[in-house]
Formats: sequence, C-alpha cells, structure tokens
Amino acid sequence: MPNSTLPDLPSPDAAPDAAVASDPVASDTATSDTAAVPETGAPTAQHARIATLLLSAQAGRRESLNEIVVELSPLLWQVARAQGLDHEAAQDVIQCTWLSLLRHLDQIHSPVALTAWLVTATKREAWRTRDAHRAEQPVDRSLMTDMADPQPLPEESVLLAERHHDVWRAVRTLPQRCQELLRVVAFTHRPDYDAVAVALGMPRGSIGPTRGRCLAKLRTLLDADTRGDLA
Amino acid sequence: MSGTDPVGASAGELLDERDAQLLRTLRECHELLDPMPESLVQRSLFALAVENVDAEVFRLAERYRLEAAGARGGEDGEEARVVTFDSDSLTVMIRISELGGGVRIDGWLAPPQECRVELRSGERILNTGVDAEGRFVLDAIPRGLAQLVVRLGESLTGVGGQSILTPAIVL
Repeated sequence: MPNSTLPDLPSPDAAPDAAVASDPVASDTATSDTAAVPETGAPTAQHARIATLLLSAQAGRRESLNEIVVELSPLLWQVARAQGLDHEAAQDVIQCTWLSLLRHLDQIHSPVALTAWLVTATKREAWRTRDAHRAEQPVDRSLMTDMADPQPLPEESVLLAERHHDVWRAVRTLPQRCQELLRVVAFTHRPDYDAVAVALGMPRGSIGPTRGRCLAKLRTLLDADTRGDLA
Repeated sequence: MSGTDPVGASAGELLDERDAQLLRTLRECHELLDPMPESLVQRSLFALAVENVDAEVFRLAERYRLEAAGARGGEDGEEARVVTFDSDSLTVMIRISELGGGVRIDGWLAPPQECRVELRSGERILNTGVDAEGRFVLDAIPRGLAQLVVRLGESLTGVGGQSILTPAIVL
C-alpha cells in the first residue's frame, strides 16, 4: 500500500516533497529487492511486523509503541551520534523524538513513513542541540571528548575484529556525508533506504552523496587497497 | 533531469550481495565502536509511559551543569546540577540537589505563571504548585528516573489544560 504523503513532518523545511516522490520507490524496493539479498533479516516480514505494531499503537496499545521503540531506537542512535552528539545529548534528543511521536502517531500511515518521520525529527533536533551547544561555552568536557571523531582512533582497532579493519579504514577516508549516510543506512531496513536518505537530506538521484555512489566509492577504495578479500 | 548521472541514478541504487555485506560489516563496526546504551530504551519507555499523549515536549536546552559545592550555603557534600528545558512557549530550569536520602528539585518557570507541576518518579507522582514568580519546589524525591510535567491551567493561558513534558531525567 503506497502512502502518498509523508505525514506532518516536524519541520516544513524537511524536504517533504522529495520524501513523497521517493516513497513509492521505497515500497517497490520492498517487494522486488528481497530476492537479491536474502540474508538482510527478511525486510518485508520486518515491515509487516512494524505495520501491525503501528496500527496497534495508534489504537492506543502502549505495548506496541514500546516494541516500536525497541525496534527503531538503534537506528535513531546512529542518526543522533552521526551528528556528533555525546551520549547524554543523543539520548535526550531521541527521547524527545519518541515523545513528539505521541502527538503525531495518528498521521503516520506506513512503516516507511514512520521511519522517515523519526529520522527527520531526530536529525533536526540533533542539529538544534548541537548548534545550541556550540553557541554556549561547553561546561562539560566530556561533551568534547565524546564527540564523533573524523580520524580513526588507536582504540578503534582494539574494539574491532580483524575482519572489520579494511572496511573501517576505507570508510574513514570517505567524505563525511558518505560516512553519515552509510552509517545510518547500515541500520535501516531495506524498504526504508530511500526514505531515510531523503530524511537525511541526501535523496536518491540528487547531485550529492547517494547510497549507491558512496558504496561504489567504498568498493573502489577497497579494491585498490586490498584486492577485495572482504567476505 | 534523469540520466544526467547514470552511475548514481541507476547502477548505484541496486544493491548486490557485496554491498549488502559491506553494510553488514559497517553495522558491526558501529555496534562495536559506539554501542547504543541500554539506558536509551529504558529512558524512552519511561518517558513514554505518561498518560497524556497530546502534550508539548520540553527539549533539553542546557546540559547538566555542576554547581560549586556550598554555593547555596548548603549542607556538607551537597551536590547540585542545573538543567534547563525549552518548549515553544516556556522555559523551565531545575536545580537538582541531593539531600540525605532523597533528591530535591528547585524549579523556575519562565515566563512565570501560576500552574501545577507533576513529577513522575517510579510509581509515584509528586505534585506541587508554581507560584506567581514561577518558582516551585519538590522534595524527598526517590532517586532514579523522573519526568516533569507542567500543567497549564485554562484561566492562565486560554488553552485548556495544556501539558508539557520533559524527557526522563536521571536523579
């Protein structure tokens, strides 16, 4: 069921037109793409489950809303952290997103629209928070040290397993916007890819970074670097 | 406008197995490097357990700031944090201090107006009034997660019983 409107985005400047345009595409992806990549966690089943939870939450069942929170918070965590928020600020921003959703739940009619709404709200709030912190004197030093760092840190190689190293090193040399897009897409269910890119301000077919271009760049880097022994 | 960038527009949007594998690897990297704290879901679920679903939301405007001990002439070992939240129409600043076994909140609402505030804390709801200067005090609050709800009255705003919620606060 393609939804024709992205309901009541939290901001009029959140590119609702582009979101509408890409939404049917996202729905197509749900049905046509799954065969190509079977092991991404059965995205259509996942979406069907969220669709059911959404309807149930709209009918007032808090348990269903709670399940949606459990399901989609990991994605929102990446969205907030990719904006450079520290742990506490990211948690506050995401909580505010969930609280705002209470008021907008009735206007959201599909899992794709739900994801798009949540990502848009989180990113917008993260920007606001980040800018507010920048304007202030940071009183909390952890605010600075905890921020996402564009340079690979020594301890990263300790935390990562051997098989991650090549990919991670290559990702870190991508442009910042590509890193942000791929980071968030990596936590997104396939049918939501396009809607999430739009919510991040990087719609499909735009001149800037797209998932395809960023992945192509990443592959080129890896091929040049390590003769591609990823699998 | 289509076809101006064939790489990005066509080949780029279809994922093959290698792309999917790359995204899985990348996801694992982020999960290892920056795992989502369990407290995020706990706090979100706590905050969402409010009754009022048609409330405005207070956003954190200023982070926890430590006040110098004894700045308020307080007791030994008193430690206080000040947190400010903004909504579209109101700002609330709360000073959270630990006294003995419990927690005390001194709050200021701006612009000042008489109304009610509730603090949802564990199973309990503490309730107090805000005076004409916008001040309120909540005392003997158990530690843990709490959520502040400002309830504006009809006579004061013209908007019937509007509520404004904060995210979960760690006391």
